[in-house]
Amino acid sequence: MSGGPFRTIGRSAIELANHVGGLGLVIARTVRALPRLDPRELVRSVVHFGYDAIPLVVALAVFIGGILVLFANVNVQRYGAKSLIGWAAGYTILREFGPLLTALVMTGRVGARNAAELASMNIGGQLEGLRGVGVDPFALLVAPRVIASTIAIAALGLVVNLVAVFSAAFFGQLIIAVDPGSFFRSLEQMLGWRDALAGSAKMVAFGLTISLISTRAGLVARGGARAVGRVAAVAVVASSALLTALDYGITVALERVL
Amino acid sequence: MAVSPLQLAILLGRSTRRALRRGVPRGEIVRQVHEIGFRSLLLVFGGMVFFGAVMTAHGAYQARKVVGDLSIVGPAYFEVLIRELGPTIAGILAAVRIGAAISAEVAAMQVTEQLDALRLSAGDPYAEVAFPRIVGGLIGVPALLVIGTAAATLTTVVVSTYAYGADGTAFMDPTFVDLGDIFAFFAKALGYGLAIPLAAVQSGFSARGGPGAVGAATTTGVVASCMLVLILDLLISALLFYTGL
Amino acid sequence: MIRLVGVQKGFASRRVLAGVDLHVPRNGVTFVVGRSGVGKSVLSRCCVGLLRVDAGEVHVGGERIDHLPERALTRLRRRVPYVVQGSALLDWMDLRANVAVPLLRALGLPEAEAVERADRALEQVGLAEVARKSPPDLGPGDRKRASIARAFALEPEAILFDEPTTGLDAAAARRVDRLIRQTADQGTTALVVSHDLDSIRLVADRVAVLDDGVIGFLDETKRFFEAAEEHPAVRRFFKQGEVE
Repeated sequence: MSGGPFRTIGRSAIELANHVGGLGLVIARTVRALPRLDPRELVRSVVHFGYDAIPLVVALAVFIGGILVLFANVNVQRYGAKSLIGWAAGYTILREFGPLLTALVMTGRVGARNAAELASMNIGGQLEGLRGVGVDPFALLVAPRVIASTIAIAALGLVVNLVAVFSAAFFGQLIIAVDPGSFFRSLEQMLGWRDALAGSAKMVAFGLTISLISTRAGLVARGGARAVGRVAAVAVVASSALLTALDYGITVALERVL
Repeated sequence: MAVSPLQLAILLGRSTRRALRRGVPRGEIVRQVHEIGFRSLLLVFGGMVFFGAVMTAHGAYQARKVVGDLSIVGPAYFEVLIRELGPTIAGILAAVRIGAAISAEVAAMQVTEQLDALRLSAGDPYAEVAFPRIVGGLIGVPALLVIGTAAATLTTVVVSTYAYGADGTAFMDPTFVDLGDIFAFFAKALGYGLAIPLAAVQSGFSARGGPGAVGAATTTGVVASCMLVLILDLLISALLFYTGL
Repeated sequence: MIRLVGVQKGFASRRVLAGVDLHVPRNGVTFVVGRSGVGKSVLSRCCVGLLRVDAGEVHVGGERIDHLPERALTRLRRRVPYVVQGSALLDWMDLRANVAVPLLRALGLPEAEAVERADRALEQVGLAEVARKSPPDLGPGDRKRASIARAFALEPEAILFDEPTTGLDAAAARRVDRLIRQTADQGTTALVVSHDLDSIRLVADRVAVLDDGVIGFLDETKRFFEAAEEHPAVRRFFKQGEVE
């Protein structure tokens, strides 16, 4: 009785509308909570999501730099365009791989963590406990997390971009003997504020996506330990799927304006 | 991070040894190949379609600045896609999906004492939980990477033809693709296939505490899987570069 | 203090409350008991708007509250707080900060005054020495009393307790019982949802039995135990206790 393509389509449409509506609700309630945002909770959350992840993203950036030099090298050897490697690596780091790879790793480090913690607090009764004593848990706990995780991801993306460029210069010299002077010269000549801005815009959009999806997933969680794990996994997969689609949309849009 | 290379090596050795001694759980392996491979297909396929489109957009932008014609860079792009971009991005997408699913599931088993119950009924978590997932990864991840890379390639061909008016077939021109590139692809695919389930199972096994611990293990599982993919990527690429392959 | 008239509440296809009429008078301790899964917690949540009723009226302190917007309900729960099952404290704050949360965020008291009042509430529940410790460093009994202190600190008119002794050992449970008694003796009305017979015996003034979606019995505690054999709703409740 539950079969039938129309019924399936109808149900997915309702589910989709439900998800979109849910994200809209998170946005609306966060905006409404802005004037009452608890600064202590905001600072705590930024440290919790961002500061503690700095060693991780520095390592991430070092690897991104190395990987990009290796594959820029494929073309460099073929066309003998050694002088362009700074630009080629820098461009891909700033506009594409820095933001995308950082965001994908952050779906785990920030998204899964946020979803799991909210789910635990939801299932453990902490959120209802606050409502029970006349405190709005959204203003106290949820809104600061939405803001803090967005800020943290965007800021970590900047750290990645900066460190990855230096890492690329280092690996460029180590692997294909491009001296850092000429690396940075080509970077400087051919890259501008537009590329840095495009990368930053992407990071902010990615950060917001991860934080909204993980917040929504955590808030609707029901069940026990199994549910917490499931919610964390769902948040990771849903936000990484959306990230790749968003990446394309933003890239095309940005190349028109920036 | 609660996952070290030494732990992973021990986990691999112990799971393999015990599974071979106790008999390989074939049915569970089939189930895990389905779980790991098939259920990650949508994310990896969809993600790589968008990624192929993104790379075409970047390529067109860069080509405008340097060479002029997008199709000139086609064959070289195809080589980079096989050797580097395909395995890396599809690998990260697979790591995200599989790392999250396995670590969340195994951690929930750990904190709800299902693994202890398994031990008490003369079962062995290494042979029955870890091993099938490792084999599932070794089979499922390379398959995902092949499909993902093919999806990105075809998207590049289509987008460069229809959106940028270039000769798209240049993006599947295998002139520059040699045995070394194919070798690089499969070396990475097998490396990731082994590393992702190992990292995820290890972080699941290390979960201690209540529901919060399951969330923490999932976070660790995803992050460790992704980082291992990037580390292996750099190591394998550098190794092949120095050996001249 | 709290009056329910014909309250109905269901989830999906399951009807949990099928026309509950209940009057909780000011002062004293009223228990709502019932077999597990009968909807006691649903009933208590409806009393302060944590759940919306499908039909019927809810009056608190003479004011009808079932149709109020969430913001007004939040203000109501500052006067009539609800202590959830479990401890529900925030792990990263010490007990003092936890108890001060509603004072700062709900009542808007200045920091110094909030801390002073939080300390007083913690002293009242016997946790003054561990005020600077965090919930994970304490036992479940201490955490439970701290979450009761969080409600005390609001100096409320009434407090609702959801299964306050569930998951506690006997000694910790009796300490919680004494706290509830003390609350009532100081003039704060208490409504307790429970199935703990020892708690009922020790602290209840009145007992209401929720049975099959309606209040099947409501009388003084003494009469409740006397009715164990003859009254059908009460008998069903005691039967369930034997099975457990």
